Amino acid sequence: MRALDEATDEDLLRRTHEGDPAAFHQLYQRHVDTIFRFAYRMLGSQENAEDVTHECFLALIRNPGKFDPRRGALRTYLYIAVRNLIAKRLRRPGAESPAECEMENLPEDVDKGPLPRLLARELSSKVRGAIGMMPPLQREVLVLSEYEEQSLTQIAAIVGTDVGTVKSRLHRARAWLRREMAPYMSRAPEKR
Amino acid sequence: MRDKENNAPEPADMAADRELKELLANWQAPPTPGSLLKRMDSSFRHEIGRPDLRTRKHLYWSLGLAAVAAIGTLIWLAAGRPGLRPANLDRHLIAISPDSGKRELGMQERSNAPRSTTNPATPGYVPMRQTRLRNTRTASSYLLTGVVRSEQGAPLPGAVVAIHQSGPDYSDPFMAPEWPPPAMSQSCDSQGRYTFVLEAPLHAFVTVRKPGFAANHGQIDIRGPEPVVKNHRLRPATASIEGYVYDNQGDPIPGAMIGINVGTHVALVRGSWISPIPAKTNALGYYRVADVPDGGVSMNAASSNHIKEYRDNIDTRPGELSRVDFHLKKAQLLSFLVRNAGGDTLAKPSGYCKGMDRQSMISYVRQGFLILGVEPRPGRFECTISAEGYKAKSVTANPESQPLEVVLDELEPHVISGRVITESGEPLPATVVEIYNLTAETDSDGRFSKILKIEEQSVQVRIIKPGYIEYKETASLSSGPAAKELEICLKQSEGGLYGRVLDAEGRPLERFLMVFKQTGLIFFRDFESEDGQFSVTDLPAGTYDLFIQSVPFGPLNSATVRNLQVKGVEIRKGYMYGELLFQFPPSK
Repeated sequence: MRALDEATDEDLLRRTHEGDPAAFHQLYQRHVDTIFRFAYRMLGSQENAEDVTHECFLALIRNPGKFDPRRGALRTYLYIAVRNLIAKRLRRPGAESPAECEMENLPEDVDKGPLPRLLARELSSKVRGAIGMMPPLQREVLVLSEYEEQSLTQIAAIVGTDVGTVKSRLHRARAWLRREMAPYMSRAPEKR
Repeated sequence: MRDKENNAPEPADMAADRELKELLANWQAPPTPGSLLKRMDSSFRHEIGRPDLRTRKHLYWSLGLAAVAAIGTLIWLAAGRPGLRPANLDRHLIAISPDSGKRELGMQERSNAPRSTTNPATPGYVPMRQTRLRNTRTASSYLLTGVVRSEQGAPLPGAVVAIHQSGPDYSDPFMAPEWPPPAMSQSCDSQGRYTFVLEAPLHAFVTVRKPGFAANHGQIDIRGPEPVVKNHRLRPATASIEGYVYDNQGDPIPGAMIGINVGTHVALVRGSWISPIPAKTNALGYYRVADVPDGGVSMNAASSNHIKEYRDNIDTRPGELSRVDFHLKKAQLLSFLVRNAGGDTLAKPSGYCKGMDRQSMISYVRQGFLILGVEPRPGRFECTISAEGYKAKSVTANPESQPLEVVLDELEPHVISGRVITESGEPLPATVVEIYNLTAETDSDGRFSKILKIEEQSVQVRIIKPGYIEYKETASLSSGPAAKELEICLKQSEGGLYGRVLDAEGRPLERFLMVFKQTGLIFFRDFESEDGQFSVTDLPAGTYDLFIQSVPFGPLNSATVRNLQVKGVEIRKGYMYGELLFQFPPSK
């Protein structure tokens, strides 16, 4: 039997459904950070991100048959699943906009002095706010492209559209950001 | 691969894009929390099962598959092939008449109705099939879950929910009832939610605590594969009470026990109530209790030589100190030395005296003596002394005399045993049989047995098992140790109902009791869920009068409890009536 860290996602998923907790751990550790980061940046709240990440993996355990390796990699499948869960959560009445969520509690860089730390925190908050105010369809392509470093083809597969649409959403998202972040940039934003 | 050629920005924008990228890098995502893995692990165990159980399951499957398939086919054929017949053609809707509490069920025919995705009892399959599937899928673990909220409904993250194997010992009125250490405990998440995954059925006590709130406690009974939902509402506790306890001469009573309860202190249907707060007076007879629930409490004071005194409706305001003094009447003490026929003193005897108010009477055990503190009056006292497993005895006691020796006869043990089978004669293992407030579980051959030492000549035997019709029988106990053998045949569910219950404002009821009545038959079902859902699949087919009673959090009284009567609720063989909506009428 192949060692767990060399096993393919499909093997690990099969063994998970045979009740092998080690295989599930391996599979989970392989993808959880990516999925959690994406969810966090889309929802802006650690608690909500934890919830949708949990639901996403729970759905994978409950409905193994839904994943078809011929249609794409497991990570793409997980991105699609978590994207649907995020959309569901954002549609809820009273759902918080990521910009309104609680201040993040990130470990601060202790090597920096108090002023640089304060500035970095302010900048982080501004970026988070600007991304949070962005329409969700633009936000997701920006997050997938800039933070998750997915290719345009992969993004198109995840958001269920063609590459052209992804490119135009990405263009609009960047333009939005440039406008919102203009006070922090040396170049003036492009005119629409 | 990243298609850089498509994604490459125009040269003029390159610098701006680089700057934008640097800006974006300022927002870092936090690391994935470790608690998520624990939560996932727990879900994995629940969904997939432990490896050893999986192996066992495989073995059971391979051994039993052929037999189950053959038996299932035979049952299906014998029942006229009822399975997988679309069942969503017949549906009931409520005809609402807002001015009267009584409602009639109207019948309406619909087809192609949407399937409910939230309720397991979805129309489209006959219930027999559904429950069989449910029973086999989740039998390996038991779930206890719920939400802890404040009285206003806000979730209380960080509230600690603990499961105790036994409750606090209240037998000595002069000792603070302390909870035994919890078998397991958990802090609620940000939504106030908690979830315990248990590996065996459990009857236990649950306490819920959070600083600034009155502790809540209740009993739970987890038997079936259905998750048990237990929500809690905590009452803020920021008030304080102080005072003195005197005797009727005006002298302070040191060491008097002060008990503080909230509301009527009534145990709810599978419910919870606020833990009493104990306190004792000091040498000057003074006591002070902090963290008392706001908005009114009831109190009592007791001392070993005095009659217990009760005070109701004490107003406690947030953050304020109230003063409550007690003047206790001197009690007459009756003492008994309670032994069995072998001469051994009995550990927990109890007793009461004829014509005495049981509530204000003090009863405690000291060094093998049972002491009853009763209101003084001339003459002798007729008392009844008992102990668990022994026959109660009536005696005449003289106050202030030597302890009266009482010898209790041990009750004869009655063995009640039997076998639980299905209609096809298959044994039903792991089925909980309720006998006289006790429970027994069937073994792999469907057999159970229980030894009872009680005075009653007959006991009620009851079985509630999802997927089967509730079984009730009054079994008479034969005298002598001869075992009473019962042969219990559980019938599979014939049909059912599911839906939701709303209050007058249209909000789902979190807790309610349903009573299904038919001539000679009565069935109680209690429900607790956040969205007011119910699902009943274990009643015999027939037409019932349904009574729904709201069971609110907090004290139960006529102002808080509402009743709704619905006539003509039909449970029809082979059909699952769904999406029923019962709504309470507005209060007048």
